[in-house]
Amino acid sequence: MPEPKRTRLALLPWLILLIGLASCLRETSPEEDPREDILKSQGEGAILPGYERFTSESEALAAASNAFCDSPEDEALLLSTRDAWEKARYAYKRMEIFAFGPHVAYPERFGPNIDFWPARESTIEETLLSEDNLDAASLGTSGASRRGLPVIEYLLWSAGDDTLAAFAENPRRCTYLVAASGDLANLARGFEDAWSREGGNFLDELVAPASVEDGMYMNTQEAMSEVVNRMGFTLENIRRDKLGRPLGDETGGEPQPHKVESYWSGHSIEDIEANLEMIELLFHGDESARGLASHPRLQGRPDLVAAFDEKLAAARGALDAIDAPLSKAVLEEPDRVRSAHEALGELQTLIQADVVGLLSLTPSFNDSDGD
Amino acid sequence: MARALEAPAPPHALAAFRVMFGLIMAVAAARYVMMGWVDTILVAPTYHFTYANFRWVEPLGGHLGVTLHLGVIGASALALALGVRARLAAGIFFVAFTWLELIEKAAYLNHYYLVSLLAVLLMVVRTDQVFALLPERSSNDTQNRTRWRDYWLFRGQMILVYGFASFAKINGDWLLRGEPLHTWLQAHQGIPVIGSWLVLPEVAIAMSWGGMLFDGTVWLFLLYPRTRPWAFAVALFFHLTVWALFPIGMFSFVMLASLTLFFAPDWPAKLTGKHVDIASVSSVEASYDRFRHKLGNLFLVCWLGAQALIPLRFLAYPGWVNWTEEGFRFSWRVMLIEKTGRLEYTLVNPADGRRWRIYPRHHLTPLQHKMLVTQPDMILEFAHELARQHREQHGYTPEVYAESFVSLDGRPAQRMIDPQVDLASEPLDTFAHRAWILPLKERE
Repeated sequence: MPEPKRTRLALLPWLILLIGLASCLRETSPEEDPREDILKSQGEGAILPGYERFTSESEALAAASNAFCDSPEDEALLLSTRDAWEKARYAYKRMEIFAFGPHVAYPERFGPNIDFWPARESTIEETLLSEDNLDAASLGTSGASRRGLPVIEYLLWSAGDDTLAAFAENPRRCTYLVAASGDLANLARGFEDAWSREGGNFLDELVAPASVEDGMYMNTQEAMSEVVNRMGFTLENIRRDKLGRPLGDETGGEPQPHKVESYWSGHSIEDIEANLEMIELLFHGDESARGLASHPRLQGRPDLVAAFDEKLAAARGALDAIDAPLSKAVLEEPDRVRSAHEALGELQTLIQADVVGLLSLTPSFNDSDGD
Repeated sequence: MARALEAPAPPHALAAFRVMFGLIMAVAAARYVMMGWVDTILVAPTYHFTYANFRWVEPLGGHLGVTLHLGVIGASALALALGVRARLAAGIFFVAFTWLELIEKAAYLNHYYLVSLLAVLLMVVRTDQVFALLPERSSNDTQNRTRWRDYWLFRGQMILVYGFASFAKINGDWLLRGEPLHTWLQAHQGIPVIGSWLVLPEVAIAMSWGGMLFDGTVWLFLLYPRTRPWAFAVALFFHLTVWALFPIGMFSFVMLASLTLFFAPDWPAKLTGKHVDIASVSSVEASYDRFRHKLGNLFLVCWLGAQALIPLRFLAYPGWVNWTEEGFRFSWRVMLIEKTGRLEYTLVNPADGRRWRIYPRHHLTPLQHKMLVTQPDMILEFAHELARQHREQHGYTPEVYAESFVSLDGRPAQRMIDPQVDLASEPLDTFAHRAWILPLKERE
């Protein structure tokens, strides 16, 4: 048996442990944990305003569609409707990175319902030919291939120079446009509501996980890991789905030009630029949102921040060098498209290997222990 | 020496270890089911990463089959704890547990390996002379007494585990840069008061040194009665802190249970106030079976010899084992490195040069992908799988090239796999050095 004095001394490590555990009960402060502050400011300064913007742009698109369909022969109104679509599209593509939570959660599945692409031409044509009731409410219960931004894009662009004639020939085209735009505005409002504190409050699940019972994330680390890893996943999706697939990466090198995003409007490159804009905003922040680069670990690695800027600029330069539309570029200048693919790959490596490693944000799953 | 090993010893500490080990493993089996890992790790993947020579091991059916498999593990662990035909229970546990462990390489854990090894020892050594509901029947009590050799078999195993864990930490990243602890501790900066302290590099370096010294010396201090209470208190603090900070499951409890084997063999009896007549068990009996004891000693030497050599196999390979991971597993390199990366494959038709690009994240579970991107042998294995799938679809074997970038312990990401090497033509099951693993380049 140890002597009593020694026994008391052996309690010392326990005392330290108890102090550590007791301290966990105190409230945390932003100074102690910059991650919470970064997440909160990104949620309030980038995510919520982003969805609000998408809602207002979708509502503007619905109004423009209504106005155009009141005078479907008016080319100026067609052009303003197309312009409204482009703005709504850009607002949505900026938010594409947040492809979790309400984006995929049933029953709404806002992401697939808003942006099922490439548009399924046969389904849209079937809907145009059918005599079923067609309004925003009926589309609200339809499958993803009948609704959303790609459907509206198809209606506005697929007839090319004969678009006005196509609307004149088939009045149901306008009915569909008005219905799809109204449905899109409903989806956008629902999406915004799912994130907002007054509605579904997914925002707090992400930015203040400790305050939400049975939330999606156990802690701030998991929530931040979600956001930062999505930056990498988004870059991979751009490379795989938006550039690689049309280049023929899934077909032994045989180009698939009809598989580009925003095929009918020729907006593929703009879509990618919108994706990159949000990645840049999350990394650097702006006047209303704090960026990842303000994290002390990244502030201690200015080389990484500089590398991010350099690789992002290279990726943008490579995208700019592609003569749009992308559907033609994959056939006529595939090397330039491949260069953009590779430049984006370097940015992806920087985020998935360097930034994720530096911040210890390896995707955490509740599916294994580690040692 | 041999006679000292052969001397009888009180069986209580070994029996207590058996009880603790069995209970911990029963809890572990229940936890595995409750966490949903039956599906996420074993049933959901359409492809499993497997081990050389054990590629035939598969899940035993779907959800129900694997759950029943876990049931067998839990039941045999409980039988072990209760002392119901303990060695038979240990044998069943070993087979069932090791089978489960071998199904998916992405789920490899050092402590799973340790559990399998300890199960073998529990199968070999009798531990049911006390604290057992249904001990083995024995016609010869003398032959079935616990010997000091039995204790040293377990103790030797644990000394090797701790010793190699300490040895692995003797490197610049761990001791001079405090990596990867410094990186990992960032995850805990939200803990008030100590959180802001935990993220300091000096703290990470101090903790790194502490970990290395703890692993290297704790067993030594546990052996000496005068330092034992101190050492065990420190071990409790160390293992519980690690358990609280990192997701290591039941590892801490297995280690703490194992450390009780360094106590005096009669400690459980003393704890309950019972007196063990040491004199009655300390003399070598008249009916002494020399052959049997020589066999026992031979097993001890062979077992511990093998356990000492396996973790040293990394010396046979060029390059830094923490980067190449050649000889990394089964070597007690516990919580040692942080690797992150990006991996893609290109498949090429050798006849006409047509190319396909594969993004493995879309083919695997998150856990599998996380492990794949940084582990060369898994990268090779999946390259072979992609070649197999392509062969099935297209009727020929493609060349497979990997584009792999990895960051180790905060270094800038760099290529890990030679992009010019067709991995599909590289041998899968070989213990030879893999020359297509590019050496780690330090920053100039």
